[in-house]
Amino acid sequence: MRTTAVIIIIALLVLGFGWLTYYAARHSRGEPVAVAAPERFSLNVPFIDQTIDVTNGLSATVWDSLAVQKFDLIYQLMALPWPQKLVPAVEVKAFHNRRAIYYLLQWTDDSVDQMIAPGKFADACAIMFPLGDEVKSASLMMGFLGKSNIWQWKASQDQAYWTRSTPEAEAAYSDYTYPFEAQETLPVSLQTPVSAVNNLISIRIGTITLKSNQDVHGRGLWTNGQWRVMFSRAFNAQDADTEAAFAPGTEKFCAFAVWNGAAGDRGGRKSISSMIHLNIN
Amino acid sequence: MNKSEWLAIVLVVLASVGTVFGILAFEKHRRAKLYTVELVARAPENGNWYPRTITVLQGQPVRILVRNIETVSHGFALPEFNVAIREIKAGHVETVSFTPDKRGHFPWLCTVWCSDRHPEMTGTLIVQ
Amino acid sequence: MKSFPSRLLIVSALWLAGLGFAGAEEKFFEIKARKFSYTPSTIQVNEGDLVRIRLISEDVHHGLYLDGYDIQTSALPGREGHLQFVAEKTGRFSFRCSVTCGALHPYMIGYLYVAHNRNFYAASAAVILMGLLSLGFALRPRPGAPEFKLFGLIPLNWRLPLLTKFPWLRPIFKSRWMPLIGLIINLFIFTIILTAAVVGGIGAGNYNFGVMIVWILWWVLLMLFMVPIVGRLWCMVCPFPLIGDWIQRGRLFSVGRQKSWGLARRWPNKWRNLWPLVVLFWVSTLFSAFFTVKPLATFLLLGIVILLAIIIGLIFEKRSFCLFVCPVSGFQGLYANFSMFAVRARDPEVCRNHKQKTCFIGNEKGYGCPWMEMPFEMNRNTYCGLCLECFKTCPYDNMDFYLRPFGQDLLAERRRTDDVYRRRGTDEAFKALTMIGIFLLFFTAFQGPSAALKDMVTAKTAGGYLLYLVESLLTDFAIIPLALLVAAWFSRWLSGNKEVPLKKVFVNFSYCLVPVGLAVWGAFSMGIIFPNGSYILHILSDPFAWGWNLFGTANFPWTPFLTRFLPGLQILIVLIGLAFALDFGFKFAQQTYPTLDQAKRGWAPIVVFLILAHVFFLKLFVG
Repeated sequence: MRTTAVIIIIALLVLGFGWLTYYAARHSRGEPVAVAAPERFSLNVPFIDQTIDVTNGLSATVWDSLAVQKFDLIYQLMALPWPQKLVPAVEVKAFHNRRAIYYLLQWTDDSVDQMIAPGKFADACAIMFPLGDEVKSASLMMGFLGKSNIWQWKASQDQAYWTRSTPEAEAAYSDYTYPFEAQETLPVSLQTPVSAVNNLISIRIGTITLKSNQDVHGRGLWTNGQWRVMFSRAFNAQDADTEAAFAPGTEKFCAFAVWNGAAGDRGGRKSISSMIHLNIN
Repeated sequence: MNKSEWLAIVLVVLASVGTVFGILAFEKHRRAKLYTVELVARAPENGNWYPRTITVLQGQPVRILVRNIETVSHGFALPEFNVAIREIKAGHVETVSFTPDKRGHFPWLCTVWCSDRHPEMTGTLIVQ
Repeated sequence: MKSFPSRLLIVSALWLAGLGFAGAEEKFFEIKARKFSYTPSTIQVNEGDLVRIRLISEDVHHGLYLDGYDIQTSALPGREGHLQFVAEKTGRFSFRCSVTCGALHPYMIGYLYVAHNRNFYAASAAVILMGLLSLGFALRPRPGAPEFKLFGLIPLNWRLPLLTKFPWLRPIFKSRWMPLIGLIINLFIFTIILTAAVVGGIGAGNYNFGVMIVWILWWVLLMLFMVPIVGRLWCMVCPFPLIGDWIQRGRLFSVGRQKSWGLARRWPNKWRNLWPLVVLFWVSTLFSAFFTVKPLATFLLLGIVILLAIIIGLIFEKRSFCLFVCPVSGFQGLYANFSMFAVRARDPEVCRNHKQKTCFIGNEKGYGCPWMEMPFEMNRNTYCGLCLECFKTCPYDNMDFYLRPFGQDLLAERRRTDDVYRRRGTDEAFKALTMIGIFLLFFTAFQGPSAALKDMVTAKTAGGYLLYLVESLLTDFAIIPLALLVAAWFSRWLSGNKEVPLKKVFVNFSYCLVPVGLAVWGAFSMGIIFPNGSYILHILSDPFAWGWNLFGTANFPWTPFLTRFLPGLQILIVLIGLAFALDFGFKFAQQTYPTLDQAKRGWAPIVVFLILAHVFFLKLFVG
């Protein structure tokens, strides 16, 4: 009789504790929800045996044959300062012809901003390629824990490059007046751009550096509230250590960033994508 | 059973069961009075924000209690309304207050790299 | 020349020149932090060097706080942290993570060595000196049979009956509210602990009420104050047996059934010793990497212990749980023999004439000793839980609460051969030995820099955890007992005595490890509370991480205190433990060997053993 009572009490206690433990474990991280599978984004870069000469423009025909791949962008919030407005998405097309690789970025922008002045900033976009064999998703922070090769296109640099005056026009200048009056709000030490796109390398936030070889080319065109920017570079990297290599081998990644000058975007104030797998055929 | 026995029993019940219910009731009352909603910060692999969407009315002041119940730092930013907490350390609790003045769907995000899936750590504020 | 860059240049040049003169260098370290270790985990510099540290995080927000120098920095992922200082203090300094980065954050530690480690050399010299002094004192000629005195000063059979000296204390001890009110207060605290663990889940252990109160506050208070001074003080007010007692007795406050309700089985004689506790405590320490940092694991551990307390109370009689199952009971019981307080019968004549022995069988005023002790002839603290029932049941008020010098019970020997409790034995020897072994593994894993060890104790891989298990088993049950056995063998061999059993030598000298165990655990506890004590202020104000601020300290930042005194204090405690071990050890030698001459000779190998052990402990703590 008593034995039965004891057994029942013990059973109740054990069951009760078991239930309490189960409840505690289930709610140990707040309300239990189904954990979504990790998002995975890919960019297909097919082989198309065509060449684009950037000096002749963006070339619609080749690009029209490719499907648009859209990637959502989010505010860059991991390092101050933060952007004020979001560019919601960027549409990307890409292809290669074994000799060169081409990317086309498209995004909506109400205003075209190509001038740099106090309080005025240029629109820009960039593609970042994390380098190294083991790329962690944390490399999203400008090559954190590794290195990354960044191609940054700036609207101001694009305009300066593509509308630069020929050497002949600059000869025979013999005016004694102060020549910089009209451009006084521009930095005095203007460098002559060798490309519309800067080829950069960085190892973490704050370490971005211009590379010695600037062989990434690009061009941008704004029509009816949309920017279209093309990047092109030789398919094979000159220096695999510090440049994005597209040859088959290890897994390749890229990420995109867009700056809207009208919203005051510059530096860390940008809209960024997640890490994207590159499928190069 | 004499008085002391009753007193002992009452004290034991108060100290155990009474404490649990007291704590839960107090917190429920406090939350209802002070906060619009409780937002729990978790890394995406542990369930992401809870709740993932918050619905509020335009023009009504909103107070969100953001609790980081994890072991790494998170952050909170709602850029469209200019509210942010740059870092909420593990185990810490912070409050954000604002009054939504425009309708629509607005994202909030985590501002500290907290896990491999940090870029997925977003939620949506729906203002009606 | 007024511009800042030029000024900086001049100052730096002068600085570097000055360094060059002193022979000090500039040393730069890039330290990578990830969960839960640093790479490199140890760095070496010379005294006077200008040390520059760049901290980089490989996964989440980490920090670096340097003990002793009291400076810190932190690195968000993607950013760097910088520290720059001149290494003017010598010795070994721990640097630890200052931003909660995951479950094992409190154990994320590295070591900075600043040559030369004068603390360690001085302390080691002190150890050797103390050993030689002890031998010197032992070897000098003595007239007649000496009375045992603690450090030659306090007679070890002296004791002060407090309830007789201060009669106003007696009604307190006789009230049935004492210690019940203490149990109820602790019941309240434990309810909060268990609730916080359910609510806290896998949240941050250092911001969880349960983890902080139990493993930081309670454990440290236990090891530093409660056990060395009062012995089983915690057992007096522990709330775990409350429900079991209530069911057994049918009454919470007044006196109900004397014989326990339930099956009221008698605990088997074979296990009426410390062996079950030696094993149970060791098993529970295999999971310490989990329950000391994860609220859910603490909940599981405490819940299981409470459940066991009730279940054992339903099956066995009285406080069988407290005596033979509770994991903390073992070392509390053994170390209580060292403490300054004891419950004893005052006048043995009164007890001899008292046929009924109500302290053992109970009466209407109270229960017969729930710990199945015999208060009328109790002479050691091991199995007395300070429940104070015997104060209530004795009709002659013959029980008293004594103040006495440290370690009085260590000298108590067996009275009768059927005396199951009050005798020295291999169970107590192994309790003392395993406590040392467990301390060694705890210290190296939780306060040391080894990332591999941390991975092992947290079962990152099954193989690593198995290796840890085997290591722990071997160290605790084989290697350390073997070391003592070897010393005991040499002791017996040197003494020239062939009749005294080796087991007796082994067991008797194992009690040297009681003050040693208290000392190393006390020093270890200081390494817990000094860096992490400030968390307690936070969780007192916000116990459930709900945003409360009961006492205004919820935003109190993590503030290690007095870490520059940590090495010195740890050395001091270790040396105090050695002093007691040396003093009592020679007394044990005199109890083990029949002649003083043999005792003197047999003492020498044990001194060597103690010296070696303590230099090793010092190396762990400050070397």
